[in-house]
Amino acid sequence: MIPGSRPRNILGVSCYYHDSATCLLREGEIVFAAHEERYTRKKHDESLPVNAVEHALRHAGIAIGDVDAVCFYEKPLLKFLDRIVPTYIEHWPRGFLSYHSAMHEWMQKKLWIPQNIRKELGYEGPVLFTSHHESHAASAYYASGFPDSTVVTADGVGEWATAAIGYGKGTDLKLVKEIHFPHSLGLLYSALTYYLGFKVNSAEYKVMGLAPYGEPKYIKEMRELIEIRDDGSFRLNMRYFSFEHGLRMTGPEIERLFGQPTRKPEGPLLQFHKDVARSLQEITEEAMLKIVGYARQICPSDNLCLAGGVALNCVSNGKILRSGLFKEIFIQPAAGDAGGALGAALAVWHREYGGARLPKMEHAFLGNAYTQEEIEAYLKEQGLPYEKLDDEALMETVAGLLAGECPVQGPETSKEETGSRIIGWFQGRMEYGPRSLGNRSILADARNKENWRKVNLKIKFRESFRPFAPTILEERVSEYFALDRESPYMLLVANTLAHRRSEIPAVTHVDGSARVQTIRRDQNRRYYDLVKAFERKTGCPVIINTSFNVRGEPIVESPKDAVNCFLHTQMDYLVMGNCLISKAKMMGAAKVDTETYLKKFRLD
Amino acid sequence: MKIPPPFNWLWSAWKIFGAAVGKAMSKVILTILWIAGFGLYAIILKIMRLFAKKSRAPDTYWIDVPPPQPGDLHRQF
Ligand SMILES: [Fe+2]
Repeated sequence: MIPGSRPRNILGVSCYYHDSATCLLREGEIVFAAHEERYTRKKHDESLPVNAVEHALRHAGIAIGDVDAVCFYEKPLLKFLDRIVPTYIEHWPRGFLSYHSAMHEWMQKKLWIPQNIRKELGYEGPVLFTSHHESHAASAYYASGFPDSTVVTADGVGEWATAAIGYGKGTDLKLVKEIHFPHSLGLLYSALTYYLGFKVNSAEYKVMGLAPYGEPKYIKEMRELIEIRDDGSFRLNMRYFSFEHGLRMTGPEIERLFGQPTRKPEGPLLQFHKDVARSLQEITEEAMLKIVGYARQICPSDNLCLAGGVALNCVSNGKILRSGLFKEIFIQPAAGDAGGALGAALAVWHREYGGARLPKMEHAFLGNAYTQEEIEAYLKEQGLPYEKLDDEALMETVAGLLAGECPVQGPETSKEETGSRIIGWFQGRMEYGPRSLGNRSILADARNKENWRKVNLKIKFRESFRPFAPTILEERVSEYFALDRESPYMLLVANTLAHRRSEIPAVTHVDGSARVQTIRRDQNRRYYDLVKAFERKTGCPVIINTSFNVRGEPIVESPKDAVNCFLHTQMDYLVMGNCLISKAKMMGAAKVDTETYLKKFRLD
Repeated sequence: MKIPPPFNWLWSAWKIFGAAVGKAMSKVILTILWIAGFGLYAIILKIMRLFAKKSRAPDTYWIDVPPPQPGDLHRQF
């Protein structure tokens, strides 16, 4: 920054598809990043992130007039005129219904992005545009801290590209190869997600979680759906897909191929569905391994950066890591389209302003926080009883509750009060990206197998097959998992060591794997201290960490959301800041109607 | 602007009616565009394709990305 001049602020925006988000950079440093859904309480909200921007500006103490540039994460005219319109012409006369709904959307908002940004944000400065995959690539490479890196992106679709290979060195980042729509690994995964009866653009990770229950019996059928070359390039057999022109992802052809009808949402999950999920997972891993292998050849580096929705497939990421092709891997925590906001802002910082590299993004706690005073004011306003503890006492008490120690010894202690407790944990700044990483989390004892069932069915109200992720102190990760490095964003799957599996059954999947999150004190002091306190009590440095929400609900943002979710589920305690709230003590103080609460959220 | 009753509900009804007409009109216009614009172009393309030579599957499906152009951040395409 030139002495005497004010810092330059760049706002990245991703919206109008799914998971809208914003990111604010000040002199290239990430000041704030958050998803709009957390504020509007609408899962995968795609609207312009007006609320997230408002929080970003408030957090930075600036006004919209102080923003030097807003960058949108893709090029809307290229997408519309070069892909969407020609695709409809290509498939004419099919696609009439899809055309109607698409045209309405484009005419109403997507063709007016600069105008909408200016109007809804009250912004008057320049609006810039990066390409979709440039945004993904920039979000990973510029945040990686690597001096140079091979870069691979893969997702559903951007403008034309569905996967890309690039190379970054210093402040320079270039994409060199790409695959074009409709041939897409992300859309293949989404189409099969649809066929398996799950929600597209939302439940792909459930299919990944389902895969270990199955066998790869349908690899032959998968090869009929997708042809993968040795260089990782691929082509879908469009006979089986209707997403180019239809309102559905697949049709009767795929049912004929697999010999089973499309599963109805919430219908029975048969071994067949698990086998298809497993086969899909295997073919995705094969494609990704070939892509990164080819990327290593044409853009050689010891480092790899991954982004795009497919990079959220942590099982595939784990395999890439274990392939040994790269010494270091960085996967941006908001790897999906929400992360495009970060990438767009970073691309502008480097390309338009010639800015310097920022150090490695060490954590994803980039959203807004609530002070202790705000939390207490809310609890008092609601008349909810709480106990205020200092930091040390809080960690000791919460670790004790997780471990099953009885907090209140005396005649009034009921039988239900013994055993390990499930805790809602609300602290500090909200996470950026789809995962709760220790500030908006539900925590439980990983040593207790029963917790798997209890948290799934009575707290999250979700499918019983869904696995839970462990948080482990980083310094002890290799004592429990086949992993020799950090995994701060829960984006790497590694096997639980055989002799540890019986110790932490609640976080070990049926195939012995776990979606590991490591934690260091410099990344999140309070969360680290809690796990450390739990380790001191039990000898075990691992706990269950799952997102603080129920099925279909966005992760909680405010004390109000946290109390609401806590009251309507069977969590035992809620910890917000330094306040400890006991379910047993507050039930009289609050009237709850769980059914009405759950109905507010559409199942994902 | 505050409109006194009973004109306020008449105004609301008029707005609902206006929105419905707008929606119907946009559907009609889009349908005409679908048939006359997209359809015509699609038919010409399909005829041209009848005479086009079939291309062999390429050795790779990777496509080269053109290098970034100066000023492209300012463009929507
Ligand atoms: Fe994307």
